[in-house]
Amino acid sequence: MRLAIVAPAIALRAGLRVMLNATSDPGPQRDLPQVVFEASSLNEFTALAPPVDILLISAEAVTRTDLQQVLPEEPGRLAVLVISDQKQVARQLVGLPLHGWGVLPVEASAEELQAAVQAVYEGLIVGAPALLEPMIAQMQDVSSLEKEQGPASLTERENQVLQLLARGLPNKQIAVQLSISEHTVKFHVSSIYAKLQATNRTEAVRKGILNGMISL
Amino acid sequence: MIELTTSLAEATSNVVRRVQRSLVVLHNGRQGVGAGIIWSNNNPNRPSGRTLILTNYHVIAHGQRLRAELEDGVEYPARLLAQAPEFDLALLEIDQGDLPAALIADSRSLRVGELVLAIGHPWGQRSAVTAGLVSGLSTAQTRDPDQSIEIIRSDVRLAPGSSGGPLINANGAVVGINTMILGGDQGIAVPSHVASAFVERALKGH
Repeated sequence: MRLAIVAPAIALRAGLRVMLNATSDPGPQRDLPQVVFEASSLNEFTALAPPVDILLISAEAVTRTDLQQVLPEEPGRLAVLVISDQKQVARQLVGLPLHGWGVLPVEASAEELQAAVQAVYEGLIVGAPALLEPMIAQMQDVSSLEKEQGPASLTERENQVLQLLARGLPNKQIAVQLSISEHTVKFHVSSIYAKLQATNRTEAVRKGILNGMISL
Repeated sequence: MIELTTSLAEATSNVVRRVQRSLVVLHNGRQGVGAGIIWSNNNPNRPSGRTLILTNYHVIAHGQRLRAELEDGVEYPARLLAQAPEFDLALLEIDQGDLPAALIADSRSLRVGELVLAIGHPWGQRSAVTAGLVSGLSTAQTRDPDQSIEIIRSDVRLAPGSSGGPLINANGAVVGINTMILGGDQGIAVPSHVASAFVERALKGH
């Protein structure tokens, strides 16, 4: 996947590039992001950038009007991930003809950034819950419908376990975090495997991301 | 062994003490504070009775009524002389002379693994110090296609309020301007030679 970084501050651009490349285990099927272009503003991006799949952009560089102008003519070609600490940003992205989009805070870890990039590339909406809060209120009706129909809906506890799996915690630590026994954790994990039709932790997390079950 | 540890601790403490004198608190008329560094002025044509302060652009951006608070708690109104959003740098000036400027090192000689200290006002705590190692140097492309700079990554702990403060080496000389924290654990600093070049350019224009 081809990715462009747009941010006014050079230090942020360099830092994001480092985090995108910081992989311990790329995994067999993952299409790693390649940073093919960097710019300080959307104007520069429009003028000079080669075609990309993903636009990784800092909040200071993004407005809805500007974004509308850079979108490719064919809808759904571009995914956008915004680095921001502000809640309003999510609103600017709603309803744009994007392939996928997300909002992440600057404090997001390298793993979170990479997972978010992967998710928007797959056409999903991702984001830190706090940043999506204003929108989640609006979407609640839809999500409750989906829950009833979804064949693999997880229980609240299973969902908590899945979030911790996604952070790479071993069973023992998940048990400590949730104040339950390791045995119970194992039970939840195997139930998650069954529901998501996964055979290992990585696959469960991957399917969780694909189903939009993991919040970053 | 004990003696070595003691002298090392004393040396660090002296180094920190010296740099703290060149550190200011910047108020931008909004909530929160940032840090600034009293920057040496080598230009003989500049009027005396004034002092340069370097900080991050994002510390003073959108700010009104900028004020610099010195170590003794006295506040001075600060004027913006120049800004470079791309490097996240800004140069300010106050009407007060004879203040101790920080030592500046050439960040181009910085090596991965070198010990560095960060001084700033994390979460508003005055002149707090954290230590770490340079974990990496990342090349970053500037807008000028022929020019690239190295951004300093280290594991010093930074927090809101650290911004604009100095990253110093073991000799107490400034090697970078602490700018942001990324990924929860990466302290990002703009190298001091980029800051020096920015100040030089800015003063030519004035």
